[in-house]
Amino acid sequence: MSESGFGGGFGGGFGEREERGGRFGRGPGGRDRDRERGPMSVKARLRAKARKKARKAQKKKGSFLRKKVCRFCADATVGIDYKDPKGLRYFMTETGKLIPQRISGNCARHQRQIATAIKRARQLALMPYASHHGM
Amino acid sequence: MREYETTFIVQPEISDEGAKELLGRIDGLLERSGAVRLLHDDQGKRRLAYDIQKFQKGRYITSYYLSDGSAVGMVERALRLEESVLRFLTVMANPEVIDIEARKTRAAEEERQHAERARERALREAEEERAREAEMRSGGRADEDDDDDERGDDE
Repeated sequence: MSESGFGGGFGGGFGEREERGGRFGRGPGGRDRDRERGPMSVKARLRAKARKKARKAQKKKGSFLRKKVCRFCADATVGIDYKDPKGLRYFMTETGKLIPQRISGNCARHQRQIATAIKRARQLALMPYASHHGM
Repeated sequence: MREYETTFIVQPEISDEGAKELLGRIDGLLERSGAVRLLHDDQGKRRLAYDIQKFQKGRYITSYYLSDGSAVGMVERALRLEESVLRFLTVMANPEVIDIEARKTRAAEEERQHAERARERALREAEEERAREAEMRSGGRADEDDDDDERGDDE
């Protein structure tokens, strides 16, 4: 992505450019510390911004949002098996869609395993591709 | 050697002899391709989540075997040609099995347990069948939900 396109989407692109101009006088550290780690990609910047926003929101709400823990990391005895539709049903909506990570609370690795297992179970007609009931 | 598991769905109407014959043929194939047969797990009839070839139920069988990979194609070809097989799926369960003998003994133990479970299931099914027949005779409404899962028909 070009610099100008990025600046428009991100906001505050001009301000940064001014800062960058004045950087030569300063040594390492200070307010420019983050930029010393090397160039951040556009996505990384957006992610960092989102994280900051989430932290702020959480502070405002207090401990209203509970930190979710991946149930497969918490209990290593629970396996993920595509031949066991009962265990997988929890990670599927009633209409047959996969439940996203942000709601199921799974870590990336186990969410991936769950998704693969459900897709395999669908091929074997153990789980539905879509539910045609209740429409 | 890699461990593979091939699960396939057979038409529900297949006789026990027919299923046995099919498994025997797979055994022969595995032997010819230099694979190590571990076990066949017959999970019995299950309701399908969606119809396959107008069938609402299917008999699920999983075959476990060790092979360098050459057996997979042969087994899948045999299943594809077999008309009573509705669907199959092969998954690599373990990319590197080192102690083949240990895995074999464990498989024998598992197979014994599965056989026991299958026997119990057959007994239970026979009993349910009898109960259903009695109910039919007494003029009651036939219970359509006769698969062995815990779901009802309306799900």
